[in-house]
Amino acid sequence: MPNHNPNSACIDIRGLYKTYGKVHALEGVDLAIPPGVIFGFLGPNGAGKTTTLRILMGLMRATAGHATILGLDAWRDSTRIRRDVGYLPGDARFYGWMRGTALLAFCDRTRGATHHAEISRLIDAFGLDARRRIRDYSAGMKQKLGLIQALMHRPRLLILDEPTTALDPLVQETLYDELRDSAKRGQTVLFSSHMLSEVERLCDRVAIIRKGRIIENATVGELRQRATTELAVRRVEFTLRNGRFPELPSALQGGPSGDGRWSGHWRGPLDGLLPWLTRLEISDVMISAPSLEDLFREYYKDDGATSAERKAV
Amino acid sequence: MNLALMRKTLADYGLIWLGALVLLSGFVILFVFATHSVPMEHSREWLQLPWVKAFLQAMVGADMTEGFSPTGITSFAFSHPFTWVVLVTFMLTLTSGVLVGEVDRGTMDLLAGLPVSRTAIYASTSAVIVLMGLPLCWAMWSGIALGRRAVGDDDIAMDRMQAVAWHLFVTYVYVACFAMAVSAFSKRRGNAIAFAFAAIFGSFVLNFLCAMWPAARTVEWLSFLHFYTPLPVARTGEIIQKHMLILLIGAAAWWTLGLVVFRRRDIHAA
Repeated sequence: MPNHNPNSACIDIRGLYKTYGKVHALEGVDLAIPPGVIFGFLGPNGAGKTTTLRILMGLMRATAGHATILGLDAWRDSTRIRRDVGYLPGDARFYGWMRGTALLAFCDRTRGATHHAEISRLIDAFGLDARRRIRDYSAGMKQKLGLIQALMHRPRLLILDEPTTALDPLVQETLYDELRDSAKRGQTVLFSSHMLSEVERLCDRVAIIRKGRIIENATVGELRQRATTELAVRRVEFTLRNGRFPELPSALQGGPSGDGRWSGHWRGPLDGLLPWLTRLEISDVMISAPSLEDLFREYYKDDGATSAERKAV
Repeated sequence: MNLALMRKTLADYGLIWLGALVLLSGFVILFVFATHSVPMEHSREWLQLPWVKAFLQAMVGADMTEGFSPTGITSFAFSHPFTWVVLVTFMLTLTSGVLVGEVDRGTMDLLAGLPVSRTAIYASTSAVIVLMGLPLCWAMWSGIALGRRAVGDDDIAMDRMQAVAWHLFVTYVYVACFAMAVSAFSKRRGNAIAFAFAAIFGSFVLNFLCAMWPAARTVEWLSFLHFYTPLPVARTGEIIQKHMLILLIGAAAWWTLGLVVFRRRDIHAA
């Protein structure tokens, strides 16, 4: 890609707005994704993930703001950008009358017909029966086909919209390995997901979007740290000897999980929790840092406040 | 232009195209058989009925009873309702399938991930639709030639019929470009088909209205059929350049409008 500094952001989004009539899908998204990272893009349905990815792919035009990929304008230069980008749409659909091999050959021809070896390797790696007609494929097989067509030309940037949908755990592992290898080769991976566990396992950085705004953009480690220090949330689990649950302080939320066991979350400084626990007859207790899932839940209770806004409060 | 996309479109719609080709050829052969089996005197008598005369004049662009000939009667095959039903169905299936149809079934997302510009998508699919139309229009001519040989009727002037086949092809291109433009700005395939069909059907209605009601002739130019006149062309064997030019300019205008809209539009998830 000409004129692109390899050290500058692979994706640079500034003040991105998108409205559909009266609906504001994006409200000033700012995001910079450095090269060579696996970047997780998290958010619930309707938060603006897919709209952002579609603007990046040149499928939609932003109402305001600017998005560049590899130094090129996402709308104006979209054809040039796509030479170096692999894209998996959220709900990948194909031509049912084609066989898997024919579809991959078609995609390859548009890219110069030079990726036959990589296509064969990926077909083997994902265990796809590419000789069958696509109309006979299961949802998982279609997803594999979509992934192969996105990965086959070893693009500098991979944009994957919920790539693990419909994949069984073994194929998910294969995909994770492929993505880790891609990042090792210097490729950048941007993927959206609802699966917090895979984001935790795979990503170098994470952005969380809510109601069209980025409310968090940090490394997974920073997010965990932030959960403990800023949100002051801890996971609490204990087992009662007598099985009688006491009245809970307001900072503790949760409920019995069976066999006299209780689990929930404590919000606030620990010096409020420890004296309360000592008054109980408990056989064991565990206080741990929150998982990314806990954090995610906290963010979505928080009416879209960014980390900066929370600090200000 | 993108050759991979053109091949894909050809493979996608090849079977429908073949079906249309067989239907049109078969129909024209039968048409020649049918017109040959009816004595000329009966046909002339029948054509004198006022409403039949007006109806046919609207379809072929001139009074068929003047200079009555087998060539003139055969030219009616080029504007027979069956011919139009096959051609319009084929055109609407293709034009709505390649743009808005791809958006509707979600396959446009796949194309949008490939290094193919929207202009290339539009131009490649348009080229395939136009190229597929050429054999369809010439299948009419070949069908007449085959029918003529089968019935042993040498009175049909095949050289003059060539000009009619070209005229039909240019009219096909006009309608296809209009339908491509509708496909480019539609959000749903069903809407595109309904809108394009309504406009084409409206052209037919207006054309008949002008033949029956002189006051409507002030707006007869709004119907593309006003510029499609197979009988006068079959009589002389010469292309009416003014009509061809108007249809080609109209086709270019619709095509360009469709391209501009398609390049700028948002492609929503299916």
